[in-house]
Amino acid sequence: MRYMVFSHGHPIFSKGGAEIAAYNLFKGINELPGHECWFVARCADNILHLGSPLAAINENELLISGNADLTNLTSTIRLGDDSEFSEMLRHINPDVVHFHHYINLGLEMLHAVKRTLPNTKLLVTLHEYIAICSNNGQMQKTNGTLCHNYTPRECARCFPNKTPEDFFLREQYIKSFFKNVNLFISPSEFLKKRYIEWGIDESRIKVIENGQGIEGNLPPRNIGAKEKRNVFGFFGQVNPFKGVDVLLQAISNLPSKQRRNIILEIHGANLEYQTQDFQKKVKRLLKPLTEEGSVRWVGPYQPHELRDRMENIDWVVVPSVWWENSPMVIQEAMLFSRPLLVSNIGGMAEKVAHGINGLHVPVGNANAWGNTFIRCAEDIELWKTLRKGISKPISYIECAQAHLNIL
Amino acid sequence: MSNQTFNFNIESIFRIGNGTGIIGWAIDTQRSIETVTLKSSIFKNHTFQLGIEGQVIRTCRPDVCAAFNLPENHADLGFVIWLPVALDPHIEVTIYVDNHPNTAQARPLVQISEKNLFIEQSYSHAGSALRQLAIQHDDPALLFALYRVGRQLTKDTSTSQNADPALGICSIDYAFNLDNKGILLLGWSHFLAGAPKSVQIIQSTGQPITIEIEQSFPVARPDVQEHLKSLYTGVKQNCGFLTYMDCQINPENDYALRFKFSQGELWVHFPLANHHTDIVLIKKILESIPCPQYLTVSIYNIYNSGLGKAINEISVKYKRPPPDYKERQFGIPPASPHTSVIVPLYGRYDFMRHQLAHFVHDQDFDNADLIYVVDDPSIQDSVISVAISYYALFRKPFRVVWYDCNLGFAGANNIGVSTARAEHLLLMNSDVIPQEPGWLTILRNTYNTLPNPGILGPLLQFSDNSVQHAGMKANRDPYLPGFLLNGHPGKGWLYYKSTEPSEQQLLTAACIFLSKQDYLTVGGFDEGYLIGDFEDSDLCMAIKKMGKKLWLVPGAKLWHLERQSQNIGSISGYRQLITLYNGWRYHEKIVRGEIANPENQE
Repeated sequence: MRYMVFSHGHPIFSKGGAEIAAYNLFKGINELPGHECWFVARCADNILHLGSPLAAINENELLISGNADLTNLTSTIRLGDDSEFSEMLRHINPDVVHFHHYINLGLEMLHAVKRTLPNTKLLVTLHEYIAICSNNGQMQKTNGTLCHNYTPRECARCFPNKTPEDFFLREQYIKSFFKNVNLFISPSEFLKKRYIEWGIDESRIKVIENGQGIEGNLPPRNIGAKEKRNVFGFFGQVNPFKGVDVLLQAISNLPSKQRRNIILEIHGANLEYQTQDFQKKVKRLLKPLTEEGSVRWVGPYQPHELRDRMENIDWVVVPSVWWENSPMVIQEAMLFSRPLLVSNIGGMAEKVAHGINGLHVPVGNANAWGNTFIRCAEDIELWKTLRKGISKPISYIECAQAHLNIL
Repeated sequence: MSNQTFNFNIESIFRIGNGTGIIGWAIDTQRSIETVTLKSSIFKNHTFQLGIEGQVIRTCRPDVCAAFNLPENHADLGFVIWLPVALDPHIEVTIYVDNHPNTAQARPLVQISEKNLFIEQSYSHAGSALRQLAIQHDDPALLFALYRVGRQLTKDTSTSQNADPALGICSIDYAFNLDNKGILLLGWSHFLAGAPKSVQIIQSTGQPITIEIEQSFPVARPDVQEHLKSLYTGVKQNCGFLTYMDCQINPENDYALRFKFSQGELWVHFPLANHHTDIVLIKKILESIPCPQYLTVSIYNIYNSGLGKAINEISVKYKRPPPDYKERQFGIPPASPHTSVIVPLYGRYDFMRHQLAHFVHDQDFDNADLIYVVDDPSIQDSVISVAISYYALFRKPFRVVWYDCNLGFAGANNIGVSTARAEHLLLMNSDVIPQEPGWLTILRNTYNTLPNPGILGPLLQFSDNSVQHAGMKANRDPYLPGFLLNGHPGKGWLYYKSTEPSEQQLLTAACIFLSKQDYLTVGGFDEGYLIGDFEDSDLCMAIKKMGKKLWLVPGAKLWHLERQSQNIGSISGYRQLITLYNGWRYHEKIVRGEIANPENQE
């Protein structure tokens, strides 16, 4: 089977979970006998050639231009029959075109694929709630509270300079392009449910978890007889959706005596791209805690460094204050057998079973997080039980196979 | 300068029509000025007995008092004398006051013409005296000239406001010349001495125009009421007035409004606003009407008083001829399209890509003559650019038609229909979005099965699926007497009525299906409505007058993202007056029998 994966970014340039998942699918299909896969990743125009929206990295990997904004999701490259885009499709002539995402690329590409290759199956992976929610697809209201369902009227309350009709038009426009899609893939049941509520027929959405790399066992952190399982690790972006500020507030709120018993490591990236207010807030909370030693700011990491980073922690925390879909870090924690503490909502609550392989913590509740840290640090048996409850996540090969099986 | 016994000076002599005015001062106030004698080598001496053959009014001259070391306001040293004689400006005249010659060199006589009024600061004192003189005469031309001299002598260049301590105050805010055939006055007044006995428009040439009481409509002016509170008691909120007079207007003339009371007269001068003659004037007029929300009860009568007719005439007279349009075909046009789908675009051209994204999934559009009419030159380039990229993407044929002006909904559709290739028309707003493919087939098939079809309209729903349009019904609003408005039964509700076609009084043109022949037979949309309301009701009633029927077809459903309702209550000010003007015009066409009456049952 000839399989094409479109991604909104290439992991060389952008190491988000979705880009890695897309690339893993490309790798996985290529490793399965009898199949060939191509990877087309959107990138910034300044690293492309002049005069063409396409640039080949090698025989099976290409870069493509695309600057569709989040509001309109409208493609910015030529898509007619004589376009480079159509020519590329005709040349590769895939049986399946799989958009692992359509942001930056643009919705119109979905139609251009069907027009150019009417018999080709078109798949789309749903990563977050971009089609549903104009607030970066987070389904979190602009006032910070969680959003439970889409209605144009509620959207207009989040964006008072727009009308309900603006959101309705956006919805109908997206749906008109989704008509071209044969199957949608959701990495979580939770996200699937949200898209069904939004209007995609249930039979058109399959759930397939993202696949992970092949890793040998990672032993628990090496500790002395009197030491506790008290090192917690946060991995990922430091932005207002990911909840690092909740963790910092939680530790600040603890009495200093209790703070001495726990360590939070932050393996985080991109704080410098956040708003001044958010940066200030994080830095203000961080400073006394790092001086005191209860928080360690470790900073960003490359995917291949993750194993080393996880080696020295006991728990992985996912305190996101938005729903999440299937956060990659949950699968990675399970890959390295680190029990999880996660917010009790959405994809996090779905992927981590409370009391089996981790604990659910009330979302955004700093005091609950503080109490959970103390409880976990003190109760070594709890850690042991939860570690035993972890089962290995599916590999990227299994994931790729699952993608072929649904066709 | 003068002898010891009678010290006087003549400062100015002027002629208006058959009269001559003399302005000056005299120190000796122990005696009154009784005679004026004019002596010349050309004609016989003529002595006027003031009070009989001429008039004298004494005026206060603090400047003269100061010059002669008299206490200020010592007495009324100044005078204005009016003699019923026409002096030739080229003749030297010596003027004797009570037989005392004016020994100083007399100033040259000034010819007062319409164009050349003399104005000098030093004569400001004479202004009110001249006004008094003006009131005592009844020759309109003379009156007016005197009035103007007085006004200019007193440096009264204010737009027009005049107050008299005994009579009250009046102002004219706007005086519109309606194509030289009528005049519209907007102003306010507060009279202390009751209603005036008569009101006239005075012009510098021509007869005075009497305004009857029923020709003047009271207008709410809370602003004026507030402003006058500190000066007068009992000022009414309705102190404004709006008066339309059907009369010949000469824009070269000067005008004043004259209120006659038994105690005296009040004059208000006003300039004509002559800057515009076309549709801009109509806009300015309607924008100038204050507080239209207080006018609802009388607005129909105001339009009916002649203002509506005048606006209509202006809008017809200055209507541009249909513009040359350009056309660009995208894709290969269908050989024999079943329907011409016409969508005017104004402002929001993004609606076009939203519609195309739905049409592409609908086979009906493979064989339809889809025409986008750009009724907004500012979006021309953007529309073409969207058309290029979306044709490349969707590969379904359509046309774009454009021209260099904004015609409004009616005009845009008329252009669109003039270029339509199919026998049937589907006229559609750009903010109407199909729900499912096949709706056009439903309308076409239903058209062929219904008896006597005139116009068909689908069920239109808001984005929350409540009814936006399921047929309209003519209704009368007690707050807007005289008008026949459009009601939207079921609007905002979920549609609960029959799914079968039903006959309707009226349909909205947001989405209608009809034959091109019928459309052309009634002359298309009437472009005489301003901006765009009522032309769809007008079209419905024109088709109905042909004996054809209007049908709602609920089997065809589309979304209509109507944001701004045409509901009269939801719009205000100028826009409301435009809508009501259109409503008046629509109703008058019904009254004249030019179109059918929606209220008439078959």
